[in-house]
Amino acid sequence: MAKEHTVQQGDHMSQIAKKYGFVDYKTIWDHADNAELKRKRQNPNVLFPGDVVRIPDRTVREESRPTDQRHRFKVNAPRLKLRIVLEDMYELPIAHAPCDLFVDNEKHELQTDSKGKIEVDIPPTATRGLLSLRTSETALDELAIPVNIGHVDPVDEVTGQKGRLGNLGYYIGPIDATEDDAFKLAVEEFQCEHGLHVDGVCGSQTQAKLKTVHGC
Amino acid sequence: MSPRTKGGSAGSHVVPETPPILVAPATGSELNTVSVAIIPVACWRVDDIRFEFDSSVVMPGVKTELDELKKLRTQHPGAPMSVFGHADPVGSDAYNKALSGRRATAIYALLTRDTALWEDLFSNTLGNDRWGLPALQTMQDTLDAAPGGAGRAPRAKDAEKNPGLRKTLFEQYMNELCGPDLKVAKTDFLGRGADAGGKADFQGCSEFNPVLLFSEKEQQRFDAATDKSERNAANSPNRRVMVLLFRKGSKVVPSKWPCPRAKEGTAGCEKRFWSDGQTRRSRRLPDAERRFPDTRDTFACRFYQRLTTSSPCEDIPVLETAKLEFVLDGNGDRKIDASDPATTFLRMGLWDNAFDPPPAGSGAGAANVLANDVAEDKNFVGADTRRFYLRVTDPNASGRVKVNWRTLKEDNSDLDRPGDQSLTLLETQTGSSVFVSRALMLVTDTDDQNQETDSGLAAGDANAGKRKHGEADHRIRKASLRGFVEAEYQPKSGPKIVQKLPVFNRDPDDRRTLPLHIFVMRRTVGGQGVIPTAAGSAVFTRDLRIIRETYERIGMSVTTSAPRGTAEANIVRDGGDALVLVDPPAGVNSFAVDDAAEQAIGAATPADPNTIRVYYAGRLTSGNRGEAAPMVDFAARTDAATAFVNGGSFATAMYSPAHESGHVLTNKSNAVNGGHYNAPAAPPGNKLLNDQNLMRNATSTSEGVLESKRLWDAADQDGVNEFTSMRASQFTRAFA
Repeated sequence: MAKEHTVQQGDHMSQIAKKYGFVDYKTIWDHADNAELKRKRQNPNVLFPGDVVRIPDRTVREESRPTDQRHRFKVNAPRLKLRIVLEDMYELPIAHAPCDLFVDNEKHELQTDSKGKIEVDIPPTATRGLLSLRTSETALDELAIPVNIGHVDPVDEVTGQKGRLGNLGYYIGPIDATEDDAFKLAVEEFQCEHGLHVDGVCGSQTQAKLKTVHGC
Repeated sequence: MSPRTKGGSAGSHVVPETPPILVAPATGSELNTVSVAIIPVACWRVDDIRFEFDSSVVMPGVKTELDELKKLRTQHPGAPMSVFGHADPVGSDAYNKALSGRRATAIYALLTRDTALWEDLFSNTLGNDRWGLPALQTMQDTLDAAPGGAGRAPRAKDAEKNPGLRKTLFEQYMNELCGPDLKVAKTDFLGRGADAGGKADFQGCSEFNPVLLFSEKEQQRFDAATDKSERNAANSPNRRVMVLLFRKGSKVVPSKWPCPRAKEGTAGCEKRFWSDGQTRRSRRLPDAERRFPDTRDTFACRFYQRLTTSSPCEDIPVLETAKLEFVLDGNGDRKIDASDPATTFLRMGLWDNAFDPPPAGSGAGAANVLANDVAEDKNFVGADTRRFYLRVTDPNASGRVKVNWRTLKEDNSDLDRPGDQSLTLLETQTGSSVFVSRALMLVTDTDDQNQETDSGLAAGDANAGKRKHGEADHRIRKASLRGFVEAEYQPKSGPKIVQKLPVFNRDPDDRRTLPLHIFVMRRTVGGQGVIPTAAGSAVFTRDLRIIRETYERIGMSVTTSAPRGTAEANIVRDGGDALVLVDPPAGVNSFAVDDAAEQAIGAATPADPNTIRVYYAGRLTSGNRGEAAPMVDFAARTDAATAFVNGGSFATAMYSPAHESGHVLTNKSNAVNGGHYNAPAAPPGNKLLNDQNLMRNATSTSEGVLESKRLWDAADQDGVNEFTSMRASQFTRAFA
């Protein structure tokens, strides 16, 4: 019988799939039972706490092989990536900056590319990371910046807007659903910087721009 | 967290320095973009009181706050700064943008020791923001008052005209305020000094970001008031300079910094306003103030709020109020400080330590000299037993303050209101917030009023040396026994403070009245007086005036009247005064009045009870300019308590009526030094000289400050104290 999973903060589809013993998140995401969720959220890694994911029954897949030999099976699981683009105050890339990224106690020595991007493969169970830069010559140097994996909420939710505005340096404060002055301030600052109509309301146009600028 | 100092506050912001990055893992091409936020980590605020009012001149008290900045920079090493000036909502946005920019510039220049920026502020004025000589004087005073600093700094007057000296003065003052340890380079600011106009390093926010908005009610009251000082005081929390310290490594591109340069207009600011910015900065509640620390919604500039939204420095300082007092030298050390007692009334100067014998070698007959040196003990005002002082206690001032003082008549109209009423009060010591004047004095006559006084200010001070009546730091005002002395002080913040004291104590009333009958003998029966008697003649305008001026010094008000029952035809009136023409009694020649004649005249003109009679005779046979019959010697006679003036000496006997009346008042026997004042045997320093005393033998023959018109509150060699004996005389009475 099919189960249901209620999304908690930090959940994403790959992690949910792993939890329920699926190799490929698409088995769940593309399942007809989740069509409504997929349509609503679009991005399997940007879910919203309270979303309900229907977990299909696992199926047995049969592969015939001779029994007197050793066989190597390769599971075609999609790879999960952590991808961050680092920019300065003016949305210009912090390029070629060496940085260390710890994910679940594994250290990755990386360097941003010309577009300020770093990218690593992470296991679906990864929840936290720590990023540190030393020679970027920005205010980020010598800080240990926590990285909360799976914490980006949908852009049509206030928490999703606050999270993105926070990443982009406009919002400082708790990631909650309150549309307070601090949020309005961040929205207006973002609108102002991006040539949008400044009204402090994060409507569809601003949401779209936010999604574009943030990258997801 | 936020150390409040007298003129500002400092503290660390409560924002997390490293907010977490939130990422969505990617199974496709999605990114998570992270931009470096501009995050202030600490703040330092300089309040309005550290500036001259409506000016960008930085006052020396800011030293206290600079110490806090030094500590803050140690706590946050490498944190780049930016300076934000703020004005209050009075005046236009454009003017306030410029003024707030000038204050920001002044602070930036002070921290970076950029004398050229100060020179720019000095030579280019804006409205009331004119540095000028007073600013330079403040700097010189501060440097002079520094340990070992006296006289080392360029003189303000010289620096006013010489840019080179000005630069030196600026530099020394900046170093004095910042101290050797607080050194800030231009590269320590957010824009790293890259922009010549200081973009991102310092800027003015005009009146766009008030921390306090009056209620509608308050605003209406302030609008209605003619005197705007209370409004200006209440607005002072809005006038502040904020310095923000940003995360170490914070870097901005000046050309992309949203704030316009200090010298630019408001257009750049307005682009960065909240969508409802105008409402935020101007909306008033009917009854309550809107305060940024409470609601965080009073700033028009969104960008500034982004930087300060959680700043502990955007609070509202509690305004400390200033105090103005008249004080006396409680311990007689001629140095006033916070411990000397305030007084509730003042008295007239006696000039009892005013005179020095002529210097050795001056020759016979040389006059005494008036002590009028810069040192208080060698100054006639500073040495007077009736001296008083003005004291201001103002936690918001430093160095020196100005107080205006004047005298009022009984009806509160001006009595002595010179062209410049100002007096310089110097801080007792740096940081004491107590400011004291040199000794001051009240006088009763015009000669004394116009006596120039040494200001008591040190050489090099703009007002050092002798000051005339009508000039600043003149230390004398003419006063009335029935009137008041009024002083006013305008603190940099807060309403004007006015202190008004009566002359002589009124509760209980310490004043006395002295009633006189004045008689002028007719030349012959029914004839003219022996001296002119018409209203406005010298007997009124000179002799009676001198009597009044004399006795007001010791708290006695002179009235004149005709004895009850006098025929109106014999009375001459001049205003409220009266004299009586009397016929020579039978057998008396008005021009040959001897002892017997005086008794006959006395018998013919009885006095009202306890009233002194002053007679002008044509001539006294004794040849004296005047004669008196005090009760101690003459109680039994018909001419007891009379004074006779010799009309033959009238032209030069202006002090005689006062002197002869004085005999009756002191009641010192003729057997003791002729009833005259007898200067005490001179112990060193004794200045109670004979020559200037009204009761000396042979009074002066012309008027002047060195003449014999003084009465002293000290025992003479015969144990007679003029002040106490005269006031206690049976011929005086309680004030009416």
